[in-house]
Order: sequence, then structure tokens, then C-alpha cells
Amino acid sequence: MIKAIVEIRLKPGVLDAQGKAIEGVLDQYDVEEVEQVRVGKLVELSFETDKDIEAQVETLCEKLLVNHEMEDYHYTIEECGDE
Amino acid sequence: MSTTHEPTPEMIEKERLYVDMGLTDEEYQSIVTILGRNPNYTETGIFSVMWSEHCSYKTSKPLLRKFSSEGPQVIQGPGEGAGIVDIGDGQGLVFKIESHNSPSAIEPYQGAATGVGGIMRDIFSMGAKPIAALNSLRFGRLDSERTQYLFKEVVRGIAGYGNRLGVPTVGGEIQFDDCYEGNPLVNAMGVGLIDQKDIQRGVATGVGNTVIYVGSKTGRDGIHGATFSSVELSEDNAGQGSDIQAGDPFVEKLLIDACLEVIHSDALIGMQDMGAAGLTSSASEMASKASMGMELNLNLVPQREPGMTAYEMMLSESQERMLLVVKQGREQEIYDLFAKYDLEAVAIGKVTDDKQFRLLHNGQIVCDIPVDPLAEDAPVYMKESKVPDYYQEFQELPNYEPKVTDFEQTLIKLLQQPTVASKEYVYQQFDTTAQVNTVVGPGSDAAVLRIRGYNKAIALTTDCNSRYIYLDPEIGGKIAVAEAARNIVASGAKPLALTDGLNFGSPDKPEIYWAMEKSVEGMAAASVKLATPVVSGNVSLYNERAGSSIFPTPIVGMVGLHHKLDDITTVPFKAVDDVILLVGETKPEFGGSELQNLLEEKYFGKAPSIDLDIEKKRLDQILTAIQSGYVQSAHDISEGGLAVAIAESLFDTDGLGADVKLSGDPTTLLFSESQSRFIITVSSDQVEAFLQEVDDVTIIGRVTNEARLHIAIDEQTVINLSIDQLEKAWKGAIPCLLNSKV
Amino acid sequence: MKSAVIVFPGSTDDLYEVTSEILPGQVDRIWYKDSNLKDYDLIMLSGGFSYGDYLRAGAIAARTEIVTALKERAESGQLVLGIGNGFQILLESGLLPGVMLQNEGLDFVCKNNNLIVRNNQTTFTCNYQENEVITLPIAHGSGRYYCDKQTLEQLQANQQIVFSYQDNPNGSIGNIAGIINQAGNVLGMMPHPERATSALLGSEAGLKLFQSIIGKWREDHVNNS
Repeated sequence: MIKAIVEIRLKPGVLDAQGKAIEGVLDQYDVEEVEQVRVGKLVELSFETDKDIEAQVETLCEKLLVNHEMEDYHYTIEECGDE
Repeated sequence: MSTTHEPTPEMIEKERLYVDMGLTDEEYQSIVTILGRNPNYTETGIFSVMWSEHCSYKTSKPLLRKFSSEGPQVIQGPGEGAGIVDIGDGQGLVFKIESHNSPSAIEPYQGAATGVGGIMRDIFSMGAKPIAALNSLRFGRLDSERTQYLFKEVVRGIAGYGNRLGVPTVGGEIQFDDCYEGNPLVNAMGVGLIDQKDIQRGVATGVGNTVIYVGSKTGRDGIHGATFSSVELSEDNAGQGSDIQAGDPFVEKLLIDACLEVIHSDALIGMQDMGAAGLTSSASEMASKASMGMELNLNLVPQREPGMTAYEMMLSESQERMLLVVKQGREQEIYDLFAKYDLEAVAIGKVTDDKQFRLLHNGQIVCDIPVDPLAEDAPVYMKESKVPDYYQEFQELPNYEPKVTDFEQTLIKLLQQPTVASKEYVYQQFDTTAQVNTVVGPGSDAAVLRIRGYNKAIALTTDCNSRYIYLDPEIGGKIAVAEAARNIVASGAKPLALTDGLNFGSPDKPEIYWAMEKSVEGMAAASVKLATPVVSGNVSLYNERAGSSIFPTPIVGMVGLHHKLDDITTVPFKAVDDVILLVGETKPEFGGSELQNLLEEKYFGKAPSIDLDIEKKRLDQILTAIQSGYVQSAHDISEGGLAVAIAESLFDTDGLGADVKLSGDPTTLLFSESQSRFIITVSSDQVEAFLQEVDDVTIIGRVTNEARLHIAIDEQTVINLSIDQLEKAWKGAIPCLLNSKV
Repeated sequence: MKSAVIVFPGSTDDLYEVTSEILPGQVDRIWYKDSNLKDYDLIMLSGGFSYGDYLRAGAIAARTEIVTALKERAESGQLVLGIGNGFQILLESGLLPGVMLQNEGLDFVCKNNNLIVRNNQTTFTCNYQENEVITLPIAHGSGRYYCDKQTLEQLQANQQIVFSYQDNPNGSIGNIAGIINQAGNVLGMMPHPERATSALLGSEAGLKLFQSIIGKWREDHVNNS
């Protein structure tokens, strides 16, 4: 089993309302060192084999998973042992 | 310390860099004359946004002057955040419609979401509590993948933002036509309630008073958004506008609550929202309206991104920000009030008396412009107008009179046309009953909200059949206003005033400018005749792509007042044996009709006719009949004609049907889109009274308890269908289109 | 009778405005920062979108001081009613078991819905008939109730399921629309009874819920005076 882990993040200048809301309540948890919170998404794609895996992942990212007006993405490929 | 590699004033002139910002050579020269020197980069940017069409209405002003905003019910006409009408008991209704078309074509969720946010800020910046939202949308045909995507995301965006504000989205309309392919229109209408004594205006009076910035930090969102929307969409600029404006409805909700509290403080002088052209427009307009000047220190502006330049801060369209002017020395109370809502409030400048708009950044003066020329003296352009060839041709065509043979199939197909079909898919995503005042929600002629604590209600609607306007802008413009008034009256309310959301293609094309002119003239004439002054509005031009323009789409947002709750009238038939009445005359008028589109896949010929005198008289008579208690149900006849209107009146009636008898040409009677007509039901003992009150009435049938629609013409049955079958076709159309593989 | 509605940033005022009209006595509106909870006969948690529903619906509100104070009172028998977002907050705070997920259809849903009153022996539902079918509006994007099998069995065994959907609009497990804690003093429900207290606005089916509470309160006070 091979997995592609896709991390989808808001582009740097785009307002992150969720991150801002979380930043606003951090002082309740004594974690003053946190300067910024930005919230993204993680999508796991599982494949039987690694044939053409990068092309397939990129197709999905380009055409489906990512909103290119607002988001950037990055993926890694992992081999998993028996689950 | 920001390092600026910004072009120098000399470079801007030499390389005509102002052209990329949207300024013409002449406009640039005007600026040089006004300043007595070459403007720097920041000043050029500021002029470019303030003098963009979106902010200055430089092309549309000559047309907007044709509108009248006079009337005893008008408290505030155009010129402030929104218009206000008197609804009695010392209360005012604040409302306006605004477009967010270009952003929605690029990123539909956020474009629509920030559209809602923007209009609501205009409402509560006047001191009014937002109580309703409506939206008027246009898309291409729903069988294209891109259109489906835009449609779904725009709806999700309106829902995602509007619902979080706790403002019910109660009505609107959606039209689907080829001309909107690639140029979706997203017009959001906001309505607010205010006690007249609390009305705020965006003015910066009092030398030395403090200018306070409230809300979200400033980022690089939508820089040149105002200029961008004043330019035709092309492949090149499709990604322009720097960072996508993303909205934060949570912060906006807090802003609403905080601003509605701050209006009761006598420390507040004036308040305005930062909308198109952000800090630039709000600050300069507030100064100009008060005949004062303003000085801001940009180092004090809360910034979300590092290293922002003065140019960026002034042009940013970051959302959820308000500008306040506060009495000198009273700033702390304001900070404390906003802190209660975890909102940032910062003094960023002061009011001056030198009528200059002066900005400081890093110890330097980076902008020093006279306020009035900036805010009020944008050039005004009289564009060339030319009657299009197609119009001449259409006027000369013989009247289009199709002959349908399969009436049942035609009715079903019309009910399935996306513009006619049920929009339940859309409005089930909206919270329609937030604030617990909604008496009639989406799906009816007009939305109705009760005013808590009073025996009165308000009716709200948006309307524009742009097909008629394409065929004949002046007639179509009259119809747009008349149709809105019909919807208001059908709900039992008296029309009070309107807001206009004008959406057109490029005014640089004489044929399009002609359509703009004529449609505004038509709307202005109808607005005067029907006593619905124009109290606010918005203009969106250059809705074109690859040279192909939208139909002229001047959307009318209208409000009305019910004198008592009992007057509230709805579309569905009510009781067995009620008498069905047709008010108005039916002629073979199919130009711009749904039937024409179904049969011919295009629109041509003449728009349906309209007589404003008859319209006015009829609306007054019907309203009197409703107020006298004679009416059970009322529905105006619009797209699809009489057969569609009767079918719509039978949906959601729990088993009622109709037995209708007519005489004449079947196609005309069933599907013509002649104007100024209503389907009204009255109980049998009220028929006489109704006929005494209202002219041009034909008794056409009765309500039955058999859930079927039976229509006979000259004693021949032409339609005999179960309501169930009709309702399924009507309700299933849009979901079906969205689910099918494109 | 003294009641209170706790309001968070992003909450709506609907519950406060409606109950101010229909509950006898005083109804206080408590801003979440005021964590000094006084004595009340009934404390309610507003609907709306506290903190914009960011992170998870009700998650941030549930972790505020005032909810911590509310939990202590609830454990001592305080009557608590959470509607919509209020229910989500009760779940996130642990006062009720289970969790609220995004609607199965992924879209926000606003419509009238038929509910079955499964338990009419509670303080909140004693004015309803057993298995009475009522119509209340729903308006939510995250209304899919979920709990593990064990919890579901417990809820069923202890009659903690108070309302269920006749026609499941969001994929809630067991068609659950509203549940009560074991002690019977904390009720959470997704449908909005406060939006159904007026014939003019479409339905009065929600009135009986508030009348149940009022009735019980009157009984207690008559007995205790």
C-alpha cells in the first residue's frame, strides 16, 4: 500500500478566519509563544502500486482537491507496511 | 522600514504607468493640473481607484441623474451607505443592492460571500440592524460544467457568509441565459431596520476629531479590486487583483453587534464602512461630505502582512473594516466598547480643516491631495449612443406567434426550465428564519417579514427580466420596475421605494450605452409613475468577456409596507370552491418569453407592451381589494405565462386543484407573457365586492379538491395533469441538472 | 421565574428575544465574558455560529470559563437547554455524550422537519403526548449527531433520546434530533422550538416545550411556597 499525503494550505496573503479565531483564544491555554495559527487540510490518497503515482496525485491536486485561487499544495509519497 | 522600489512620479508619467491602474491620459493630466505637480505612485493609485467607474460612476452619473429620489417617504436618498424610507412609528427601512460580479467569476464562493459582507456593512454603517438579505443572480446555461461550479459555489458562499451573520436570506431570483456564460452576476441586497433617531452618516466633522479604524487588519486583499471590476475580463487579467478577498463572517457579526451599540454613544460623529477602494474611499468620502480634510498616519494602520507599502494599505480591500470619526478626547470609551467584542480599534488620524487628504508613512508625507477633486470631481463622461442594428431588425419583424400543439408537454418543459423551476436547492441552504420574523420566505412573489411589536410587515423583492430589456431597453426597464411593484402588491403591501443594481456590458460600445440609457429612462419613468423613488443603488459595467456582453440587466430591489398583518397575502390557492380570477388583458406577446427560448433557443422580436397608467391603476385597485379583505391568494403572471402561474399557485396546497375555462387562442392564453396580469382567488361570496373594486377581471375557474390542473379552452381540454406530476417536474429540474454528468 | 441565555461571539439573539416574550419573569442575556453565573431556574445556550463554527462547531465556546461554570451547576441539577449551536456546545463540553458532524449532504439545510417526541416524561416535554409528531424548523450545517455503539445503546436504554427525526435530514445516528442527560436536567436539540412559537410565522409547535418548563417550575414553586 502506497500513500500520498497531500497538504493543502491557504496561500500566504489570504485571510485565514479560522486561524485568527483560534489565535484569539490561545491565552486561555498559557501558550503565549504561538505567533500565528493557520489552518489547512490534509488529504490521504491510498494506492495499490506506485505506478504513475506522481502523475495521478498531481492530476487530482490540479483538477479537484485544490482551489488554486486561494490554496497551495505539497505532497509526499509514503510506503506503508501491512495495516 | 519598507524599502520602496516604487516608480517615481517622472517614471509614472514617462512610461504611462497610470494606464495599468485604469487611468486615461486625459485623467492623468487632470490630476497633474489639480495637484500642480506629478503625482507619486501612492497618489496615482488613490486617484485611479477613486476615479474608477465603481467608485465615481463617471460614466453612469449622467444616467443616474434621470432617477428621481423624491417622495414623502424618503428619509435618505443616494449619497450615503444606503437609502432609507419611513415605515411609520419613527422607524426607517434601510436598504441597498450591490454587485460583486468580477470577484465571483474568479473565486465564486468568496466573491459571493464578500458581496454579502459588503452590502451588510453599508446597512449597519447607517446604524441599522440588518434584518434580511436577498440575492439576484445570473448564470449561463446550467448544462455546462463551469456554470454548475459557479452556481453551486456562489450559493454556498452566500449561505456560508449570510447564515453566520444571523441575517435571514429571504428571497431573490435566479435567471439562466447564454449571455451570462463567463460573466455571472451576483447582486446582493441588504435590508436593515432603524429607529430614525439613530441614523448615522459617514461624515468627518469637527477639526481635531479622531479617526478610528475598527475591525480586521489590512492585508493585500483585492488590491485594484475597484479598478479590476471596471475592466473587461480577459485571459490576461483573469488572475489579477493580487490576493483573493476572503471574508470572515464571524468578525462581521461582532462588528454588527459593536456598531449597533456604538451608535448610541454621543462620542460618535460619523461612521462608514471600508468597501470598494477600502481606506481610500471611506476616509476621503467622509472628509469630503463634511467639507473637511483628513490626515492619517499609516504606521498606525493595523497590518496583517509584513512590509506593506502606503500604496498597498490605501488600495487594500480587506474585509470587515469600518472607519469611525470620534470626538477628540473620547477615544477610550470607543476602544473599550469594541474591546468588549474582541475587536481592534485604533486611532489612525484626525480631521483637519485644510480640505486636504494627507497621508504620512514612516515620517514622510506620501500623499497630499485636495479632498474634493478626489471624492467628487472625477470626470463625467457622456458616451456615444447608437441604436443597434439588431433592434431595428427586431422592430420590423412580424409579431412572433408560435402555435403549440402539445400543451401538456410544453407546460411541463416550461416548469423545468431553470429560470422557472423551483429554487429549493438554493434556498434550503440559506437560513431563512434567523431572527424569527419571517412570515413568507423564498419561493413566493415577495418575502414578508413582520416588524416585531407592531401590527405591520414589510415586503421585499428583487426583479429583472433582462430578456425584455435586451429586446427593448426602454420598455424592459419599465417592466422591471413594474414587475417588482406587482410582487410587492401581490403580497399585500404598498410599494415604497427601490434600489437599482445596474449591470451592463461595456459603455465604450455605443450600442450598449444606448441600452443603458434607454433602460434607465424606462425605469425612471416607471419609478415616478408607480411612486417608488430610487433611494440607493450600484453600477457594474464592463460585464463582458471576449467581446461578448451580457443582456442589459438593471436589477430592481423593492420594498413595501403592509398596513396591517392581516393584509399579508400568499401565492398558493387556499380553499375548495374559491373563484379563480384573471386580472388584465392577454395578447399574443412572446418576444423574450420562456416559450420562445424553448422553441427557438434564442430571443427576438418585440418585448411585451406595458401601459404604466393601467399598471398604476391596477396595482392600486388590487391593493385596496386585499386591504379590504376580499382576496384569498394572489400571484403575478411572469415567465411562462398563465399556465405556469396557475401551476405555481397549486404547489404546496395539500391536495387542491383547479378547473379553468378560457376562450381564444390556446398558445396565447396559456403561455403569452403579456404584462400587468395577476391570478387571484377570492371566496365565492367576495367575487362581487372584488369586481366592484378592480377592473379588467375575467372569472376563469374554481379551486377544486381534486389535485389536478384542468384547463379547457373553448370547451376543449388542453391540459389535464396531476399536481403531483407538475410539482415533481418543477422541483426536480435543478437537482436533476446538477446530478447529471455534464 | 428567572432565566438566562448565554450568548457567545457569533451567537444569535433569537432565543433571548423569543423567550423574553414567552417566559414569565426575568430573562437575562449573559455575555460569555461574565462568568459569574447567578442562580437561575433555567439557563439556555443560544443558537447561531459561536466563533463562526471555526475549528469545530461549538468547540471554542465550550472551552470558555462560563461553560466551565455552567458544567459545575449542571452537575448539581441546574436546568440547561441548548438549541442548535447550544446543543453543539453541550456536546463539545461533555455535558451531553456524543459529537456533532457535518450534515451528510454536506450542505446547510433549512426547512421544516417532522419530529417524534420519544420521551414526554422530561421537564422539557411533559406537555407533549408520547410519540407526538411535531413540525419544527431546522437550520444547520453540522447537524449529524454521532456517538459510538455503546453510547447509543445507553441512550436508548435510559430513554435519553427525547426527539427523533421522522425523515432524517442530516444522517444523524438513530435519527437523533435531541437528547437529555441521564439526570434529566440538560437537554440539547438541533431543531429550533423558539422559531415555532407563532402561528403568524408558521407554527406554534415549539410552544409546548417552553410551556412544559414553565409548568414544571410552577408546580415546584406552588409546592415549595
